[in-house]
Amino acid sequence: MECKPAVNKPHLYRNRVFSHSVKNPEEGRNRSIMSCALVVKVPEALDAKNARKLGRELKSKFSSDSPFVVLDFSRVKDIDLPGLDGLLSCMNEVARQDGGLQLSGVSPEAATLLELMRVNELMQKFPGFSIDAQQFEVAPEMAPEGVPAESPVQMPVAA
Amino acid sequence: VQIAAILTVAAEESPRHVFSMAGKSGRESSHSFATAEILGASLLDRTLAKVHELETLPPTILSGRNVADQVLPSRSTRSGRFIDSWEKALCDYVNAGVEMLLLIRVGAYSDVDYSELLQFHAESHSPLTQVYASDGSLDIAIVDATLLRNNDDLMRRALSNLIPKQTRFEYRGYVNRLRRRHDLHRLMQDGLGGRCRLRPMGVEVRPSVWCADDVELDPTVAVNGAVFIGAGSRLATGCSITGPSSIESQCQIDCGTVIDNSLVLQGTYVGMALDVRRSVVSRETIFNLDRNVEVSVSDARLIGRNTKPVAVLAALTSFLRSEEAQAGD
Repeated sequence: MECKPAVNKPHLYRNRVFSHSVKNPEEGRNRSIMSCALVVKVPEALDAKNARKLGRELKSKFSSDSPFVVLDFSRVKDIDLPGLDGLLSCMNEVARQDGGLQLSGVSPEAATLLELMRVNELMQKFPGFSIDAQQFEVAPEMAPEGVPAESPVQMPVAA
Repeated sequence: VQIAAILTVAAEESPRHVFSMAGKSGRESSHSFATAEILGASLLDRTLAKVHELETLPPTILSGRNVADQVLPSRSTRSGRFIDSWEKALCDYVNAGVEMLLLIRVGAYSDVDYSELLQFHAESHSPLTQVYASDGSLDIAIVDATLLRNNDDLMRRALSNLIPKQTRFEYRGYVNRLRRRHDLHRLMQDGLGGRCRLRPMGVEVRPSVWCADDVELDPTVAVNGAVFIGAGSRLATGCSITGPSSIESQCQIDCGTVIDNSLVLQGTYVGMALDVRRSVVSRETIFNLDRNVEVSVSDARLIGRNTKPVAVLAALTSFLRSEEAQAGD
């Protein structure tokens, strides 16, 4: 698997490496997972233009090996219908590849609009991946070569 | 006894913005909700109806952006369009032989009984009676207008001289200051719940469900709890309304949308398959009560102005009325 470093695009797409092992309490054994999540900082207005950009960027960066996407909604203040359409396409793409999708740092404005458009309900049904520091054990040795290992970051997730 | 009334109302920033608010951060401006409909009638209309019951002379309504903060302008208030109109209205009533002047600044909602207030004023033989709730003045005052006759000074100065001699009418009933949109929502809840005298202006079609005239309800619409639907509003297929909720006049709620514990202000279009919960919705914005945030909705397919011809006509009438009210400003 290849994880590229952060790309300073207008939307600030960043690859973040999570290298960890997950303890599965039901099975009583450790399961190692190496995953690479694409963190996407969504701009203030998620409109037709930005939704198209989002789709393009996701297509180019998206990897079937690691179809994990975190959409950072902290800056989002406005979402229109084409923007919603773009978001749904993104969810569709991730679902098709059996990946995970999360929204992080959702601003109150975005939360209000997402609730209005029932996206929060959709997100709950979405088989997202959990980033919870308490469930992870850092395993630096699993980090890919050339990429500095990072501690798993606990991210606020709101759907 | 000849009675007259002067009502003052803070005007909206623009006649096109029935519910325009400053800022998206939840901070409230010193905006008046006097003309926003709640359960079928605005606070101004309800106040006027109460004044009419007293059989007063035709009341004067003064509206402006520089309306005084108190019902009785202070002696140092500078001349301006609003205050000059107020002085003129007062002079006209005094010269017409009015004996009691009811001064109301329309801002807070209360269940004050004006006839009881008049009786109290008459019995107290006070030159000025002001209504006070436990948290301050309610901006309702009665003045003995005979004391203002043959007055050479400005009326506001003459009135200021009466303030030290005022009698307080202590009111301990229901009060809603209507300072924030939360208050607007609470008033809607209290009206539907019968906790105040604010009654829905419609027919109770079934227990706790009121409909005004010309409401179009698709048979598939589910209504639960205490709900008011205002005149000329239309609810399309598959909508669900859960109370306490109010959809004011000339609104359109499109297919499959859920309205739950919310207030939809007059002339609003709410798009298809949306989820409106614990919110106050106007023609351009949605205010979420829990997050205390107002969001401007740029896409009119989600939330916008109801452009149904009947709604346009109603908006035009409302605009002409507001112009008429401001003519004296």
